[in-house]
Amino acid sequence: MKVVMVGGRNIAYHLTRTFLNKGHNVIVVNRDESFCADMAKKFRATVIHGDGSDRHVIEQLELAKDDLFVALTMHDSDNLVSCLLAKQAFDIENTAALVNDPDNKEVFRRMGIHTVVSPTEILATAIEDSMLREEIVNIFPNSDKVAIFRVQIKEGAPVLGKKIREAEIPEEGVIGAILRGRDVVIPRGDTMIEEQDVLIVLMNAKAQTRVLERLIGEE
Amino acid sequence: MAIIKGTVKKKEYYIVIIGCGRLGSRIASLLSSQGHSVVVVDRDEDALQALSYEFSGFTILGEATELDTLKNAKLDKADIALVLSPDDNTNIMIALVAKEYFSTPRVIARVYDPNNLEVFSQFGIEIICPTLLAVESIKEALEIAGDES
Repeated sequence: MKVVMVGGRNIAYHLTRTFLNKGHNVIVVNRDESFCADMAKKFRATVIHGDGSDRHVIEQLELAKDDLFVALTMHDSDNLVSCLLAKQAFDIENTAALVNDPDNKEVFRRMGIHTVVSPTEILATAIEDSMLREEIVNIFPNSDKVAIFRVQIKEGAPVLGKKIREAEIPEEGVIGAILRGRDVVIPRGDTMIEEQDVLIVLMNAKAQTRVLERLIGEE
Repeated sequence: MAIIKGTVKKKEYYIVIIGCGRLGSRIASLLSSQGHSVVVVDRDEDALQALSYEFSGFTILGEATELDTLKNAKLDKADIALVLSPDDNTNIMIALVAKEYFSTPRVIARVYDPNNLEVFSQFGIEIICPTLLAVESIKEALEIAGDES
C-alpha cells in the first residue's frame, strides 16, 4: 500500500518512519525544499517538492483506490483541498486530515474525509482529564456528544449510601454498571451505592460536569 | 433579472461578503447602494474601516474560517455568499462550508489559480478566476482570435 503524506514537519517525519517500518511505500509531498532534501537523505521514501493542494502535483502521484492519503499542513483549508483532490483524482477511500480548528472536524466529515484528527481536541481532553480528580476516568474520549466515565465512589460522595432512585442523578446521565469488588452489578432503582463502588456512567457530554458533581461532590 | 436561478425574483437579497480587500469592499458598496442587505466579514479591522461611506451594511471582525464567525454573519439566512479572501484554498474551504454546512443557495468564490477550477466547480460552487478573466481581456484587446474550445 502507498501512503502519501502532504505537508507537516515533525508529524510527517515520524509517520514516515512508522509507515516505512511497517513495509509501506511512503510518498512525501512538501512545499519546504530543505525539509524535502532532509527527508530524501534520511528515508527510503519518494519525496516530492511541491504544493500538495495543486491538482497537477496530486495527479502525478499515480495512486490507487485503496492507498492512504494523509494531509498534515498547518492550514485546514489546504488539508481539505488536498484530500478532496485526491478523492476526485483517484477515488481514494482512506483520506485522513489533520484539523487545527476542532470545529472543522464536522465540516471535513461532511465533505467525505474519512479520518479527521484534531490535535487541539486531543490535548484539550487530555488536559481536562488530568485536571479532573483522579477518581474519574474518561473511558470514551473520542466523542463530543456522549461521555462515558469510570467513577470511583469515596467517602463523602453525595450519592454514597443512597439508592439509585433517591440519588437525584441529573436526567442527562445514567449509571450503566457498578463494579463492586469482583462483581458487576447492573443497577436498578433500589440498588444501593456503596463505598469503593466503581460506577460506569453514561451521560450527555454537555451535562458532564453536573452529573459528575452530583456523583462525587464538588471539589 | 433574478440573481438566484429558479427562485422568485426578490428586490433585496441578504448577501454575505467574506474578505474586505479591494474587490470585496467595492462589491460591498455597490450591492449596499443597490439596496441589498450586506454583511462584510474580515479579520482585519483596518480593512473594514476602509469601506466607503456608501456602505450601509454591517461589518463583522473575525476569522471567516471559523464556523462561529460565519454563524455570527447569519450565513444560514443568506441568499448569496461571495468568498473573496486573498487565499485560494481558504476561499474554496469557506465556499464549501457555505454550500454544505449553511446551505447557502448561491456561493461564488474567487480563485486565482486556474488549475483547481474544474474540480471544485463540481461541488456546486461557482468559481471566478481573475487570471482567466485577465487572459480573456488581453486576448480581446490584442484581437487574437482564440480557438473556440
